[in-house]
Amino acid sequence: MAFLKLQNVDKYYGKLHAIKGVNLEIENGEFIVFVGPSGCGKSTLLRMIAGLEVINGGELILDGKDITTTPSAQRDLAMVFQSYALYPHMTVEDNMSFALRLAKVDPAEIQEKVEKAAEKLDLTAYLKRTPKMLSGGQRQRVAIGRAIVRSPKVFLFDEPLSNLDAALRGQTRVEIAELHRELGATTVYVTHDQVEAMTLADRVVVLRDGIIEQVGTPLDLYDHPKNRFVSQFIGMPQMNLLPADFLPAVAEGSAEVGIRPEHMKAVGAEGAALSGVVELVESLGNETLIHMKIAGKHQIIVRQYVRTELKIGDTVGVEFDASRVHRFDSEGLAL
Amino acid sequence: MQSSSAGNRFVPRLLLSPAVATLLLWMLVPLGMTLYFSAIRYNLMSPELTGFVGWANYEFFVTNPAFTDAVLNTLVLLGSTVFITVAFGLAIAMLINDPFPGQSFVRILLISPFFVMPTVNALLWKHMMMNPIYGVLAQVWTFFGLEPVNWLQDLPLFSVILMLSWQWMPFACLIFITSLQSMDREQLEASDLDGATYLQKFRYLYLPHMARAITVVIMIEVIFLLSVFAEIFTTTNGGPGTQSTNLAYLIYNEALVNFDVGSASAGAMFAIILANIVAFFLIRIVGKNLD
Repeated sequence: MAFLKLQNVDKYYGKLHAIKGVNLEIENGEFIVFVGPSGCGKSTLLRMIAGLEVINGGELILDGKDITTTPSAQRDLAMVFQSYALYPHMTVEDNMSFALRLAKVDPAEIQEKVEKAAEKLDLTAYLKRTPKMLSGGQRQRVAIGRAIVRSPKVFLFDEPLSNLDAALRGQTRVEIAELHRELGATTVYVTHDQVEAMTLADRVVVLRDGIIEQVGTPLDLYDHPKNRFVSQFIGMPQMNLLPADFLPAVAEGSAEVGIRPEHMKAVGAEGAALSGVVELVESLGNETLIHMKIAGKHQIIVRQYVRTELKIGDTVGVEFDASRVHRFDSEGLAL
Repeated sequence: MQSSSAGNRFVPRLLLSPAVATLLLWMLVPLGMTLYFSAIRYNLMSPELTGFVGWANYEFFVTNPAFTDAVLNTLVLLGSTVFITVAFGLAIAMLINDPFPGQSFVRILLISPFFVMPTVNALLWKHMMMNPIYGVLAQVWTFFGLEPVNWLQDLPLFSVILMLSWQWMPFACLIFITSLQSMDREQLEASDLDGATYLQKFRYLYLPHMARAITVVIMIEVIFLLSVFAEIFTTTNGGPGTQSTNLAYLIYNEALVNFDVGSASAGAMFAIILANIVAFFLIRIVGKNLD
């Protein structure tokens, strides 16, 4: 029995069908990440779970209880917002204890919970400060602390790292992963950053236009994308796609063939399966990305971990690992 | 270097000085003349009596039986109008904050009383609303079988407060609506998840957010309401007796009814002192929101 269950969930904005009958089962303690391009409905779906958006159709079941129409406050969920949404006129302590104070929890118990959360998040020294006096990373931790003290059934995160700079984002990502391991709480996390999705998730849900494209473990999505969209969305740089005519040897009746950049190799032009002209060489130190054009119009990228002597305009051949080839039919579905 | 930096400061100061001097004169000349008039015998009814009289004008003004009433009326008028406009302004601003059809039209209607001139406002209320025979309020009272109230005679100060509140509430409302528009939506959603009721949101989120706007409204209203004159002059003439006389009206009475310029000037000096006392307490109470 799933812990949090979405059954045929629908959302309309006027005539616009934003979420189109989403089905999803989330187990207790799982870390689920919603990813997708802008406007795919991932944030809307999260807000529907939180009760901030009305669910127009279908059912939402938490721990065996139908909460489709339950007000947010009674759903037993806590959310971390993109802007953190801290109450600016309250101290860190008051921010974290706000929900408990409203619920008239015993003050001694509130004190204990806040102190415990503050300790866990390294905020003990800042309890008497207001959010204005904190750095971005500290505000982020207060927002998480505010969620933790309520011990909710599910944690919801709405792109929590997008306002942090790159270094802090990496560090906070690790902290969130640690926190999840420690608390073991069910978590739904929305992001557009696939690194966050790949590193944090137990399972990733890829969304497009209000539809779930694929659900699976990060590596499952990477190794076995169900369709063209997922293959392009997961992986940086993107998987190379070529019409099947170029590679009759491995096409096996597919319309398009996809190969990840790291499964390709630049070789001498003679006798190679494919050949192209180098357009750009990006040397990143640990890896080298060779951008090339096949037959003058299909751009592909080859990733290699040895340095290269190739220059722009050189003609090169490409070898690839035939066992790592992805095949898609004319509809874009994986064969 | 030393001389050039001193020169650098000298030129801007020189260029600023005409503006500063004009402003200073604009303030000091009337103040000086008022001070001077308050210390001499200066009555237009008996211009032959002149000369320095010391504190006599002050003594005369302060011992006037109308004086205590005027001070109290000024403070009551100020306090009630500020309280009513802020309370109702907040309530209405909150009420029309969420989108509904015709919202912008309603906002314009709400703000329009502020564009009515004080004299016109007073006349509207005096004749259209409060007239005990043909006024709208009298009609309503009669409809319910009640004796119509003779507002300006029986409740003169309250009537003036009502007119002023009608005029100033739109101003408060306008400032509060603007302030509400910058309220953070995610904070409200977070408080939804935290289980806050509407009243708790008002208390813990809206009020702190609007503290600065409320302060601004109170400050501006106090400045204008300390010297209310047109509404009183047009409706009650400070009466009956001194029931609706405030300090500004009393000064007018001394200067242009009794033609005692000396005593009126002494009253004006007292009004300055009263304004400063009010400002002192006001800044003590609400000024900390303006940091």
